[in-house]
Amino acid sequence: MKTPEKNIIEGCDRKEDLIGYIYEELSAIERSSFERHLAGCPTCSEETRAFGRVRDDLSTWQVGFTPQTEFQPPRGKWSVFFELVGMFPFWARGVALAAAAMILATFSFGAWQMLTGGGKTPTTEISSAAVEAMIQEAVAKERFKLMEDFKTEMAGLKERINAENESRLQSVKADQDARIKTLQAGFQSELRKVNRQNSSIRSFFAMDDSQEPWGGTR
Amino acid sequence: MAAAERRRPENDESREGRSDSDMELNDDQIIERTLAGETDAFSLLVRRWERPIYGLSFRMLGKDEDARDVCQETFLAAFRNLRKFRGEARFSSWLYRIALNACHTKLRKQNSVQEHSIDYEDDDGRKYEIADTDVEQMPDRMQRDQRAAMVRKALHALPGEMRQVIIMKEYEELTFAEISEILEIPVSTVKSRLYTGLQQMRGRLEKLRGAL
Ligand SMILES: [Zn+2]
Repeated sequence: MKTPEKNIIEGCDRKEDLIGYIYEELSAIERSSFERHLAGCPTCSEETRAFGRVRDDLSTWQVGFTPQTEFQPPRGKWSVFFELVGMFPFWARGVALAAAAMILATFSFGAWQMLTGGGKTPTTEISSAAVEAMIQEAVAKERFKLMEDFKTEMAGLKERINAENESRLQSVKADQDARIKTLQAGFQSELRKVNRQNSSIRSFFAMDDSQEPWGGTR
Repeated sequence: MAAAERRRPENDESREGRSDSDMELNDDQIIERTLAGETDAFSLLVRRWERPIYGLSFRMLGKDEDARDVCQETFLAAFRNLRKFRGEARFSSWLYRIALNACHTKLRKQNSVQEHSIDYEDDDGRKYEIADTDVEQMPDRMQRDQRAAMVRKALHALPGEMRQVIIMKEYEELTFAEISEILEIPVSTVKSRLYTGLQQMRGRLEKLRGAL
C-alpha cells in the first residue's frame, strides 16, 4: 500500500482540476469526475484539505480601508497654464510667465531625455528629488525662523526674569518645541501630498501618448 | 466588512458589463459619455473601481501610501488613454492591468532602493484593519491579526507572478478567465501559477507557524 507521502512526492496530473474544484469553477460533469478521482487519490485529497487551510488563512487579511481617490479630469495644458498665470497680481504675471516657461522647458527636456534615452535615471526621479529638496529647504528655513524667534524671546526673557521665573521659561520652551513638532508634522504630510500630486502632474505632462501603460504584465 | 469586501456585488455586476439597476450606467456607457466630452462622468468609474484597485495595489505593495499613488496613477492613465481602450477586454481588466503595471514599477523601485519590508507600516492601524472590531472578542481578534500578519509575510515572499494571481483570485474574486484576460496568459497558466502559489504559501505558512 502506498503511503500518502509517497503519492505527494509522485504528484498527480490533475492539478488544474484540483484548482478548478477548490475555486468552484468546474462544470457539473467535471466536478463529479474529479470527485470520483478525489475519493481514490490521497495526494489530491490531502492537498485539497491543505489548500483549504491556506485559503482560510488568506481570508484573515482584510483591507478595510477605502481611499477617496482624488480624481479631477486633467484639463488642457493651456487652460491650466492660463489659470496659473491668472492667480498672480498683474505686475507679477511677467515673472510668473517666465517661471512657468522654465517649468515647461524642464518638463519638455525631461520628456525629450526620456524619448532619446539620455541617462539611465528616469527624469521623473530628478524632479521628484527637486521638489523634495525645495520642501525640505522650506522646512529648514521655517524651523530656523522659529528658532531665531525663540532665541530672541529667550534673550528678552532672560533680561527681565530672575530665578523664580524659571518655570515660565520652561513652559515657553515646551510650547516652542510643540510648535516646531506640529510644524514638522504638517510639513511632512504636505511633503507626502505634494509628492503624490507631483507624480500625477508629472505623469500628466511627461506622459508619452505612444507609451501604453497597460502593456506587458507577464 | 469581510463579507462586504469579499462579495462586492456591484463590481461583479459591472464586470459583466451590466448595470446595478436599470437606472445606473454600466462601465461602457460611462466611457462613451466621457469620450463624448462629459469628463465628469469618469469619476463614476473612479468611485466604482477605486476600492478593488486600491485593494489589489495595497496587497501587492503592502503600503497604504504606495497603493494610493498607484490608484491615482491608474485612473489618470486610464483617463488619458481612454480613446485607446477599444472594449476588446472588459474595462475593469484593462484597469487592473494598468494598476498591476504600476505596482510592478513601484516594486522594482522599492527593491532598488532598499530591501522591501512589509512590516514597518504595521503600527499604523489603517494599514491592515481587521474586519472584526468587537472589543469583546479581543483574543479572537488578536489571533486573527497574527494570522493576517503571517499571511502578509508569506505572500510578500512569493514571486510576484504567483502573488498577483493569488491576490486576484482570493481577494478580488476574479474568475480564471478574467485573470487570464488581465495578464494575457492562458487559463491553464493561471491555474498552474495558482497551484504553485498555494503550494508555496502552504510551505511558508507552516514554517512561520513552526517558528511561533
Ligand atoms: Zn489526484
